[in-house]
Amino acid sequence: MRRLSVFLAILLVVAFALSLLAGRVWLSPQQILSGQDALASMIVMDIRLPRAVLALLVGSALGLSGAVLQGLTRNPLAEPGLLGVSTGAALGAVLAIYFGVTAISGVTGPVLGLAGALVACLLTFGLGQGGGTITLVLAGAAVSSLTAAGIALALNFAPNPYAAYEIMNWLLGSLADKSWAQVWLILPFIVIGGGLLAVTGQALDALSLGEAQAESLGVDLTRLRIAAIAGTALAVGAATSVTGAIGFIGLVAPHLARPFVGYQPSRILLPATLGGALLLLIADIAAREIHLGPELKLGVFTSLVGTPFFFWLVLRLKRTAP
Amino acid sequence: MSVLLAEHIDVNKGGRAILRDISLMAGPGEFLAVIGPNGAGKSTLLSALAGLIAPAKGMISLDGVPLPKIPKKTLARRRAYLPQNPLCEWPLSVERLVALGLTAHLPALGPLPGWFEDGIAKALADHDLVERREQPVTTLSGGEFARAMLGRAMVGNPDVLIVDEPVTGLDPVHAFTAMARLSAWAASGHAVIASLHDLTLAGRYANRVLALKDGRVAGEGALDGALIRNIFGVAAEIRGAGSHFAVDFLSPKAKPIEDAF
Amino acid sequence: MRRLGAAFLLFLATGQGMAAPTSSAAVPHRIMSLKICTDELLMDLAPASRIASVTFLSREKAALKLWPQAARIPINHNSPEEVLATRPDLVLTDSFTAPEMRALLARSGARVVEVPPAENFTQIRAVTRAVGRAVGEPEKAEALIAQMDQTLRTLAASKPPHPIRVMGWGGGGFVPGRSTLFNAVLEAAGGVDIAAEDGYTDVEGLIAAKPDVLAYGDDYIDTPSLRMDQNAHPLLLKLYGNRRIVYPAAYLNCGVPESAMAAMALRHQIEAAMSRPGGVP
Repeated sequence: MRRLSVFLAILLVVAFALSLLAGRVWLSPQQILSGQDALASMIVMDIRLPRAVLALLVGSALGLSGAVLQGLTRNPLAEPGLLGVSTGAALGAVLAIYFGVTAISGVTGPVLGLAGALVACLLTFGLGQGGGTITLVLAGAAVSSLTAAGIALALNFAPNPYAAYEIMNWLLGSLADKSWAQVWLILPFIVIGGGLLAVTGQALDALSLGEAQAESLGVDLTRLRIAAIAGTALAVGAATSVTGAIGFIGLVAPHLARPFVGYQPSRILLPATLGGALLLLIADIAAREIHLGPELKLGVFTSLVGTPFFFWLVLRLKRTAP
Repeated sequence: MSVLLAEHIDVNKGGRAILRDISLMAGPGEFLAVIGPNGAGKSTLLSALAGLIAPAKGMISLDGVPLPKIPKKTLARRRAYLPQNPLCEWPLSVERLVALGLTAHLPALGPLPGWFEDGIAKALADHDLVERREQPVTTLSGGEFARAMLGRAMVGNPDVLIVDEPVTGLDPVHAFTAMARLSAWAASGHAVIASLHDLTLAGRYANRVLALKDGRVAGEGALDGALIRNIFGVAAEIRGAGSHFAVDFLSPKAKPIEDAF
Repeated sequence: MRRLGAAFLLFLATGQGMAAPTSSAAVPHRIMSLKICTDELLMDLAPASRIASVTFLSREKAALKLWPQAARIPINHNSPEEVLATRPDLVLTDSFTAPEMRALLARSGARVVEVPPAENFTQIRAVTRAVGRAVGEPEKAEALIAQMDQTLRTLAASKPPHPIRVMGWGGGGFVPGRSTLFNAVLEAAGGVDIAAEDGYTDVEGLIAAKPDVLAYGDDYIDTPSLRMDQNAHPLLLKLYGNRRIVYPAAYLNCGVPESAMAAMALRHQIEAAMSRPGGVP
C-alpha cells in the first residue's frame, strides 16, 4: 500500500502542476515562474490555483467516502453518487442558494448541502440495507431520481432565466470560476468529515466477517455507521454544495486500488483518497482542454470513465454471483 | 482461565420468547456441547452467551462480572464467537482473515505489537494452513475455509470459544479433525461451547452435553438413550465409549399408506 | 443571423409591411400582439384603448419599467384559445410562429402582420414603419424614428477616438453573440463587443480577453444563482469592480426606437466607467 500511495502522490503532484498550466490559454512554466507576466500570475494565483486545490479536496472527499461506504456495506457498487448522497447534497445547496438563504451567510450553502446529503444517505440506507447489493443500489437510484427532480423543480420556481443551464451545473458538476472563498468555506467540513471517515479502517476490516463476528470482535457497529454516514455527509455534502454533484469518482477510485493492495478495507482508504483526487484533477484538466462551446461539465467526464467501469462491475458480479 | 456462567436467563427475539430459564456453566478445560432439535434455540443461546443478545431476564457473567459491564474490547479479547456458516465478504488472503481475529488487540495508533506475526504464524500452523496463507479465502474448499475461520477465532488465544455448528457441511474426515482440535484446545485450559447436530461427535469429543428442547433445558450431563428419546422423541442405541462412542438412531417407522378403497 | 436578414428582405418584399388601412374607419381597434418585440412597438405607436392584449412578458420587471402601460393592458400567452376569445382585427407576431398557429390566425378573420426581430438600426426603422402603417399611425412612427436618428447623430458626433472594449457579462458565462442588437447598440455608443467565438467564456477567458468595461443586463442581476459565483469572483472584483456598467436589458431584448436611448445610456456609463481605474494591467 505504501508503494501505491507514493506513486499516486507523485502523479498527483504532476497533475496539480499541469492543472496550473492548462486552460483556455495554455500557460508555460516560464510565464508563471518569472513573475513578469502580470496576467499569467493573476490567472494562476486567483483562478487556477484555487481551482486545483478545490479539485484536490473534493476528489479526496469523494474517493475516501466511496472506499468507506464500500467497506461499510460490503458492496463494491456503493459510492456517494450512486447512493443518492451527491444529488441530495446538491438539492440542499440549491435550496440554500436560490431561495436567498446564502445571502444571510455563505456558510449556509455547505450546511444545507450536508443536511441534504445526510437525509439522502439515511433514506437510502433505511430503504436498502439488509436486502443485498441490488436492493441498496436500487434504493440509491430511487433517492437520486427523487433529489434530481427536486433540483429541477426548485430551479423552475426560482426567478432565473438560466435555470436549465444551472440545473445541468448542479447535476453534472463543475469547478469553473471558483475562488479561494469557496476553498476556505468548505475546508473545515472536508477536514472534519474526512477525519471521521479515515478512522473507520479497523472497524471496516472486522466488518468483512459480517456484523455478528465484527461485533464479537469488539466493533461498535452503531458508532461505525454514524462515523461513516456523518463523515460522508460532512465531506461530500460540503464539497457538492460548491461544485454540484460529481458521480463515479467514489466508485472508481477504490476499485483502482484493489488490484494493487488487495481487498482489505483499511488498506484501500489512503490510495482511494489519493486516487480520487487524481481522477478529479485529470477530469478537470480534460474539461478545460476540450473546447466545444460552453465548458463541458465534470460529470460528463466522470460518467465517461465511470459508466463503462460500472457495466464491467455489473457483469463481473453476475458471473461471480450464485 | 475464565468461567462463563449463565443464571436463569430468558431470551427473546423479535418479540417472541426463544429461551426460558436456562442456566449453564463452562470453565477451563471444559468442552460443552449444546444439542437439540431444530428450532430449540441453540443459536440464540450461543449468541446470548457471546454477549450479542441481552437476556430479558437473568444474568450472564464472565468470572463473576456481568457481560454488559465488560468493555467491548476486553470482552472481545477474552471470548471468541463464530456464527453458523461464517462468511468473509471480501476475498482476503487466509493470513489476513486469521489476522482479523486479533482486531481487539490492535492498538488505536502506532505499529503492530511484535507478537502478532508469531501468533498468526502459530494459528496458521495449528490449522494446517501455512501453505495456503496467501490464497484468497474465496478459493478455499469447505474444509479449509472452516479451518481458517477456527484459526481466526483462536489466534487471539481467547479464554472462551463459542462456536455455532462448527462442523455442519464438512465431510466426515474434516469434521472429526475439527472436533479433535476443539477438544485438544479445551483440554489445554480453555472453555469451549459448541452447538452440534451430530450426536456421535458430541459424545466422543465433548466433556458434557446440554440438551435444549423448546427453549428449555431438557437435560444435561452425559449423553444417554433416555436423554435422546426425551428431546428427539426417537429411540436410539448407544454403543461404545470414549473414542468409540457412537449413537445410532433407530429409524422412525413410516406410517402405512391408508387403503384408498 | 443571416437567416434573419433574409427573413427581413422577404418581409419587405411580400409587401406585408405595405398593407395599410385606407381610411380612418379601417384603423384597427382590437390589436393583439403575440410576441414581446411586437408588444413594445405596439405600445410605442398605438394608444392603449386600441390594444386588445399584449404578452405576459411585457409585465416582467425590466420591461414594465420602460413601458408602464403594460400594467393596465390585458395579457395573453400566445395561445390559440386566447386568439379565438379575443377576436382581434389585427394580430402582430413574428416570423417564428408554429404552422398550426399560422393556419389558425389565417382563419381567424384578423389581419396578420409578421414582424421579424430587428437586429440593427436600419431594421429598427423598417419594423417601426411597418407596425406604424399596420396600426394606422404612420406619422407617429416617423416621429419616433426621427427622435432615434437625432440621438444617433448626437452619439456619432462625440464618438470616442478608440472604440472601448466591452464584454457583455452576467449571464452565467454566456455572452451575446456577434451581429446582434447588442453589438449594434454598443457600436453606436462607441464601444466594440468582445464576444467569445462560441458565445461562452469563464472568468479566466474574460480576463485573458482584457476588456475595458464589463456590461451587465439589469434584468436578472439581483436574483441569486450560480452566476453570482462568477460575478463575485475576487479577481473579477479586483480588476473590474470599478469598470462595471449596467444596461437596461429591456431596451436591448428587442430592436425598438428606444434602443438608441440605450446606446446613449451606455455611452454615459462607459465614459463614467473609463474615468475610474481598472482593467488588466
